[in-house]
Amino acid sequence: MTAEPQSDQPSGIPPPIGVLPDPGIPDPPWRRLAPGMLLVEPVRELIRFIPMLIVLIFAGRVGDTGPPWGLVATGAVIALGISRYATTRYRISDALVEVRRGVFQRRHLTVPRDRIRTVDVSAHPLQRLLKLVKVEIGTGTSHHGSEAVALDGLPASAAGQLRAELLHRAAATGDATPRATSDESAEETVLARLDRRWIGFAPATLSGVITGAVLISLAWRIAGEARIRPSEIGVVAQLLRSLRSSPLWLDVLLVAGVVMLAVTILSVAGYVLSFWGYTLTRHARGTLQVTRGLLTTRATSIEERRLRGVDRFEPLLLRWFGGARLNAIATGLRHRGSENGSAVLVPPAPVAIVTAVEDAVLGNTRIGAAALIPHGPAARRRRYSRALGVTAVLIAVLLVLSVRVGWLVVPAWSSLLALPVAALLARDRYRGLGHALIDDHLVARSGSLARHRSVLAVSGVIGVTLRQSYFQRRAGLISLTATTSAGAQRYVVPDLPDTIALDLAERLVPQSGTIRVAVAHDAGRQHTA
Amino acid sequence: MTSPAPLLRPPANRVSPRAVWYWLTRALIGWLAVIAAQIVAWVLDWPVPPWHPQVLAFTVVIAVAHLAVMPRWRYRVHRWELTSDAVYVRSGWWTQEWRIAPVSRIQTVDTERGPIGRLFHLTKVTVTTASAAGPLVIDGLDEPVAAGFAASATATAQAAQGDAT
Repeated sequence: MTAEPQSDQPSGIPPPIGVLPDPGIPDPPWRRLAPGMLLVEPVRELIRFIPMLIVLIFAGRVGDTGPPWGLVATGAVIALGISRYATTRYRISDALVEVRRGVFQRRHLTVPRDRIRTVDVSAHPLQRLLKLVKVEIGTGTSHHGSEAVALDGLPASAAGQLRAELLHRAAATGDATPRATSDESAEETVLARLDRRWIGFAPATLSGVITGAVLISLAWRIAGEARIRPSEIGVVAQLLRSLRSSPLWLDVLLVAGVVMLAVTILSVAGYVLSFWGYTLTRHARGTLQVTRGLLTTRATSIEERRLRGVDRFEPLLLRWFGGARLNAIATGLRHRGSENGSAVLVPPAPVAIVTAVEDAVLGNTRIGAAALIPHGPAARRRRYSRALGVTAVLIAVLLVLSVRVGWLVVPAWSSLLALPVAALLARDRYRGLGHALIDDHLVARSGSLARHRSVLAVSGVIGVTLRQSYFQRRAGLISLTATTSAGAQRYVVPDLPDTIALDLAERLVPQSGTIRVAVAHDAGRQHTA
Repeated sequence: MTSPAPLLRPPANRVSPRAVWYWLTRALIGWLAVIAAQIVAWVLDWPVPPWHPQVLAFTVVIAVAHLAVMPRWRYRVHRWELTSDAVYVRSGWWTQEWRIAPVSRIQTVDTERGPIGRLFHLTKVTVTTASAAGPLVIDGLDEPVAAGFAASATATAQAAQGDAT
């Protein structure tokens, strides 16, 4: 997406509002966003700037001289919001989607319609009130820093149809058909829908820990900038005093209880906020669609021809409660940062449901519940030697420090308790280790605290990397990485016995057969493996 | 230096022998920077690394061992091969990697010479695929070899069908 100079376009003429482009006209006029955004944008900018405004208002009051900075900043923020509406124009022609925007730096974004791979429709509470939505158009570039084309503020009624038109362009070449919205619902099959009991998995995701940490750090920053000392607030001071007077074990118990309660409440709230109304549907024209969200609603569409597989994520705690979540491995979905959510196929849910959805999405009932091939005794030894070795070194350093410097004596000795924990972790890590090649799909599972079971279509594998450390060479193990243009870009099968790794490499990328030393020698070794 | 499992055939071509000196220089610069920082910390008597002389001595020992072993070991390992249907690169020393990419999946072939590379007239060739995780890097090629590699890799990639994703 490059910014192009705009000399040939007359930009002063305001086009009619709220008229959909007629597909018959070759060069449609530039159109504005819905006027409701005039209200939405300033309010949202204000909300975003609340921490800064608080600081400014405090600073303005404390200083008591000079211009009223708080008022000036508020005005500037509102003006910024309005200017964003005023400067954004878009048009959708048969071949292109174009967006022009920017106050100081004018940008002109152009997307060829046949490059559109995902269309996300989302709406935050204020937009929902005004029946507006944001439409994000994804082109599947892996290029960092490239901007997604977003139309923030279309009428909700027009957006649904726009999404269908943009995504199913190939099918809708008849041009007259896409208006028939009643047909749309008939072509959809529901693959999964939120069951309220799933919310019970929320505390096991520990998502509340992160939310809590963010909230606390935010409160801390605001308090710090506004020069409020928490200990000077009456309630907090009283709490601290009562904690000081009670015995230590009670304090620990109390604090642990409060933290657990807070994490549970925050996790449940987070789950409900992001996954309320979750539905996964398959559209007959070849897209999967995920709809979810309580306040901010979001509808993500993934073209199935861009889908290269699925990734089942089972972190330790969630696994203990029999849960898992499922993400799509697809080209053109951003898997990093805040956009990660666009890949969600199933929120934390019972593993049986996740497996069923996996099978339905892949169109293959043999993969989801398939038993995987374990990696053998050498891989198991490596799990233990790594977990115990690293822990032992850390403990040794701690002990040496405590003996030589003379501090931390009690914690240093108690750190020996980490050894059995490490052993348990190693055991679980080996149990999780496995792979399989089923119906041209690579299935790879690894990890303990954050276990992933990834299914990747062999057709999506671009290259193969075989990796051996010095110790792996001695143990006859190879870590195989399948590289792909979808999802995390790499999917690793750790610590395979070397002959098996070579077989697998050849199945994934036939050309890698050339790196074998000798076929006869190999066949003999395979027999014993 | 235990030889790797004899299952994998090394790629056909070595890089330029000057690459040994190239890697040595590069590592030396890195180590000198670390040692300089430690000397500064010692002279200014910073508390950050405790036991200045011991830590410095330890760094020097590690640096000498690394410089003595790494370049030649890396030279022995680092090999490459371009066939009509695949690019095959072996790299690393302590940890070794075999990377294979079918020619049909090649997207770009970049050649690049850094300041140290220019000093030794060596070129780094990077073959990228549609996967952000899969670039194949051949470091330390003679300039004409690198140019030839880039030309033939691009030519064979163009001959292959598909959009390489």
